Amino acid sequence: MITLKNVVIGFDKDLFAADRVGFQKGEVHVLTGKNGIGKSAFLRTLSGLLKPIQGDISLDDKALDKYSDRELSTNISFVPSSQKGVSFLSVDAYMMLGRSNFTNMFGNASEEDLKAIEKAKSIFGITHLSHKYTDQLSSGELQLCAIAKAYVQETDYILLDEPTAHLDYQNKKRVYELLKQISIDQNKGIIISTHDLDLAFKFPFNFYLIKESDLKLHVIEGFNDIENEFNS
Amino acid sequence: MIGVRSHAVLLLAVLAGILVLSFFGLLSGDIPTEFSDLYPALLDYSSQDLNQVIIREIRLPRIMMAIISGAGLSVAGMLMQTLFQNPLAGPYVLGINSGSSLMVALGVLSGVGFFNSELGLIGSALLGAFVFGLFILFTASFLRNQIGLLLFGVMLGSFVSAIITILEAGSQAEALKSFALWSMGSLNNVTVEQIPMIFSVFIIPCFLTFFIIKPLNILVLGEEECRLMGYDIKKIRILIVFITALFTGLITAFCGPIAFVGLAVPNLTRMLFKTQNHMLLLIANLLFGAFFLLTCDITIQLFSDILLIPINALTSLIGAPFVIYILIRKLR
Amino acid sequence: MKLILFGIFFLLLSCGTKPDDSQIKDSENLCKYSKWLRISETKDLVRIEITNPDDPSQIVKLKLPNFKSSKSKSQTYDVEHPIQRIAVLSSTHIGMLGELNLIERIVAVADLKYVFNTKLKNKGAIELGEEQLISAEKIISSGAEVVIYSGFSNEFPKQNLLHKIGIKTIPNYDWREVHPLGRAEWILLFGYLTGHAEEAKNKFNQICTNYDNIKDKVQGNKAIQTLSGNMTGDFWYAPAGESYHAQLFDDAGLLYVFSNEKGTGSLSLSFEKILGITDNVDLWLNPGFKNKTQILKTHPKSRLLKPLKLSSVFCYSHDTNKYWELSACRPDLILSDYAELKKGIQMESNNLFFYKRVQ
Repeated sequence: MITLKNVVIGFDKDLFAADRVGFQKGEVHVLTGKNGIGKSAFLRTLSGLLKPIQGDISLDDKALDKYSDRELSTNISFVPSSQKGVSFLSVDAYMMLGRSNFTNMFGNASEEDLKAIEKAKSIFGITHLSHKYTDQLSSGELQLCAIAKAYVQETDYILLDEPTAHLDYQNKKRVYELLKQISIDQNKGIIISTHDLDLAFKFPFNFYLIKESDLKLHVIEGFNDIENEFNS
Repeated sequence: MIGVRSHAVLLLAVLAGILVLSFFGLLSGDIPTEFSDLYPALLDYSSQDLNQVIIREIRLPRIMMAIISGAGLSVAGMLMQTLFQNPLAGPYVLGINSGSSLMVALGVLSGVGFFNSELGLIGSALLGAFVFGLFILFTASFLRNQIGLLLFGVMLGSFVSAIITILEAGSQAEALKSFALWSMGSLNNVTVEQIPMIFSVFIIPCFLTFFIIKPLNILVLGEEECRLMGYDIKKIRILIVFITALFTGLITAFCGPIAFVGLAVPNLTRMLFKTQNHMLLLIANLLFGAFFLLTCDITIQLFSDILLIPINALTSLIGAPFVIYILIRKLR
Repeated sequence: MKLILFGIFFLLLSCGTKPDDSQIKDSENLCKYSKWLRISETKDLVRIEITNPDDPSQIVKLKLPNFKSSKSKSQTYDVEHPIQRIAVLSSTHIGMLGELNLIERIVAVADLKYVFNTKLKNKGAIELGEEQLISAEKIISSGAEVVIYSGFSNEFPKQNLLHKIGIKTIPNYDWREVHPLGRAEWILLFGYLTGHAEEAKNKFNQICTNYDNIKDKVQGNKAIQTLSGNMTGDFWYAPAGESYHAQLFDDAGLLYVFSNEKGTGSLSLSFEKILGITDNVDLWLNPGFKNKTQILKTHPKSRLLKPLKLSSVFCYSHDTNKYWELSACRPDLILSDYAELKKGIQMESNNLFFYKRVQ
């Protein structure tokens, strides 16, 4: 479980506070709030890219800042909100980079790595893109690949920043389905930030809202809280 | 996954090409030499025989330098292009060769002169590269990201250019010509005694690059992705700068600046092998870089009766159109 | 009809090429060796013509009074009286004025650190800098009446401005002369301008006599294979067979290795080629450095050259100021050095004026 105590998220300046919050494994946690409030910063802080302005964040009862970069990468994977396609980097090669914690020192793949990638591609429905270069993909296709890449990293926690932003409805639904499945089957803690709330609410996820009025992270039950926030 | 093995044929062909060209280069020149001169020149040397002297003292160091410089600059270029995620970065983008240029300019143009010191032309260039290399490494260690490093390198280069221009304005014609010639690059200034030392220094950055193949592979996605995979990006950045400094400093000190090799060859190999796998790219760049510069050198020797072509001119003539082609592809 | 057309065409052609009346005819020209300087002298008028070697249609013409006699009332002159204050931009100009004992007339030079003449060093002069970057203000502040320049580029900068103020700019193409005596002959220009024409003529005749005397003595039996030049960058630059230096070697009776190569400029050769011929070379001249260490520092492979191993290398670099100042106007001294070097082992170092062994 990832717990936050007295945490203030931000980089140059304070963005918002989160206190007495915990994200369990085996569940999907959905974070939302107005644009610019700090959702991305929050995920980046949890993944170790950013330091909190104050407070204690711990992962499985150990302080986050006590983890080495390498250790952290075996526990948490992060999918940023947008990806850059690179020329001559095939989807297979791209996903193999997600297996960096398993491949040998030159990045060469074992049978197990290849199997893991094949499985991930079939789960996310991107097998047909295997040999395409990432700069030839649409933003939606690339986003699916990025999620699949985080998946093969085989971490307990997967953080995704607006993972459905570039996807069509069918794929949005499919991603939420998959994330729900993965969290249950493999006991993973999944934290996502999103604006696709209509769809997300159809799933048995945990919801959190960063309210503009008090700049605090709140656990919410119903859609009403969200409507109030966005109508104000 | 496309790996080294499946491209072995092409790589071996290039290696064979290097060997063939080397033989050709050792045996051709103004003074006719025989194949039978080769063995004694290399392994059973007698300084009395003119042919042996020419092969061993003049041609051999030149050819070895072509191979080392071509290989080294290409790998340095590859590293810079991956670090900055920009196919137009070259080995000189950090500004290391500015150090060499400045020291050489001071020596040649101002008559402050390395003649008065023990150093000589190569010594000064090495010292300049070393000092600037340290300076750049130091800066790299506390810069937040690679944009800063790029800007720093560009500014350093401009600053040194300005100083050199001032020195040039106050120089005599002979000095100007000397400096201009150094800036054109030359593979001829290396002696056969220096080759083993140069080669041993060259091996070090090659070896070091092997150790960062995996983070380099991830680095094409950006510094952040590298961090997310658990790498200390600051250390990686410093190591990359260090390796590049070794390659570039070493080669510029002995040959002067050689243009376009470090820019064109890494792009060529990436396009040819259609990969971002740095293991394959490292080997390919070493081989293709050596082959390219060796070809340029042989071409220059063949034309030397008709036309004098400095090495930089030829690498630019071939390299520049190629780089323009890359630009057009990138912009489409 | 065709004949008439042809006739008109021919007439037009000859009109176009009709020689300019005011040009000095060959029969009037008292310069014997120079290619670019022509001088004619009559009782009333001295005419000087300086032709631009790169563009023979550009001729600087000067009309001076004959300072020996009284001025003619009807003539217009470019220069009214002997020049007292001269600015000179090249070492060779200083050398020539030095030979005429006219150093006190120099008011400005390009760079004082290249001056050899002690009298000028003590006197001092205003520094004008490189020809291309020259400052008109400095020229004016020196009080020079005339600026003698070398003409490295097409036009002397600020020329028009200086003319408006009344300062004359006169090119000196001694450096473009291929004949050694032709180069020295420019001393006449300085003589005529300063009103010391007779001294200049006498001095030049003496130089010619010295030169011819040495030449007659040594030219006959050619000996001592001589190499000249050095590596710059990737190539060895040596004077071609018809150049100024080659002429001096030939007149001194030295066997210059490239005497058969056509051209008046430089040859560029690979080091391999040079190495191929140095086994037979006895003497290496003009490497451009004053000691072996410097030669080897610039080009370490030079250690393979036989003349270097035998220390049979001579150059003027231990005192380049002296060489650049005096070599142009005293080719007889260069020839005397070469004649001395030709003696081989019996050569006496003390007899050398410009040259010294490179150790």
